[in-house]
Amino acid sequence: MKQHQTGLMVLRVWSEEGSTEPLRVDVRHTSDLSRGFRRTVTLTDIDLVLSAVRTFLESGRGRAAMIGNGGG
Amino acid sequence: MDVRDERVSRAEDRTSPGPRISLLGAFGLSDGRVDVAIAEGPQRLLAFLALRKRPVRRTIAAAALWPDVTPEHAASSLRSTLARLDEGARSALVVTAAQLAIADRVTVDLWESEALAGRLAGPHESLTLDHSSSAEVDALSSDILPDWYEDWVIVEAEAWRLQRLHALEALADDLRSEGSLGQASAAAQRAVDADPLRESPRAALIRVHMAEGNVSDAIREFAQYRALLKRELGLEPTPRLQALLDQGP
Repeated sequence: MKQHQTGLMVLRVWSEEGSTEPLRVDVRHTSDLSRGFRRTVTLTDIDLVLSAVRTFLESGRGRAAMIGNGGG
Repeated sequence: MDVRDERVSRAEDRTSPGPRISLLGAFGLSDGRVDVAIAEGPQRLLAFLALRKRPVRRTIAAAALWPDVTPEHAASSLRSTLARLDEGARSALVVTAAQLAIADRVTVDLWESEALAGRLAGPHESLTLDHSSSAEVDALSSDILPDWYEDWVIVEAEAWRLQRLHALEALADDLRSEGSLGQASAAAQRAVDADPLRESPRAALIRVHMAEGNVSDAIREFAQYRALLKRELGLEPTPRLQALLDQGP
């Protein structure tokens, strides 16, 4: 039976004025909304944020493929 | 019921507290006297309307609450939810053929807290001492429905989180200015708890410690923040924060 599993990622972006690296990005994500947010991390580097987003999306693609193959 | 009893009854109805919806922390509904237990569907509907703060077209409500189905299915689900409302939930709503709204008699904790935060955020005179500052700190210390993850909750929750953070900082500064240093410390600490990596709440707390003459507490607060920032982000606090310690009490 196919199951729908919803992941969610929230990026909260703000600026810490006066800091040597003012960008702040709180990254909260979960692969299964029914379990709530599993992890929160704060990043200051755009490339790291993009990497986190890519990892999250790729894990979602992997789960979708597994469910589609009847492994959900 | 004789005429006098009827007048007393109507007078009591006017003065008795109306329904109350709680959105800060866990969802709650009371009839003004006791808590009312309602099912998840009506909870979501009441929460959605309370967050919108104004009448909402039924089609909009249905689409938001049932986003993954057809409009027809969503409308049917909304009708079903409305039909199953018990008296406690029904009394909190105004339902027409086109719109849904929270009834005028209903109070909502979030609305009151937002009004407080709004007063603190804008230009205002210093708070007077005839208010309960601990109640105000409490009113600014909870997030909206922290275990709810619908889109319409998350957006409002993020906005409120930032608003209450700024309000707690402003409240801490107000209380510090009027000499209520204990309550100022409580307000600033709640702001720190809400966002440990943000510097402005730490600055508010350090200013309170300095006003108390507790330089050692201020130094310890700075050191704890510095260690946290180093560990989590590999960064140092801004020179502005260091300058608070250099200023002295």
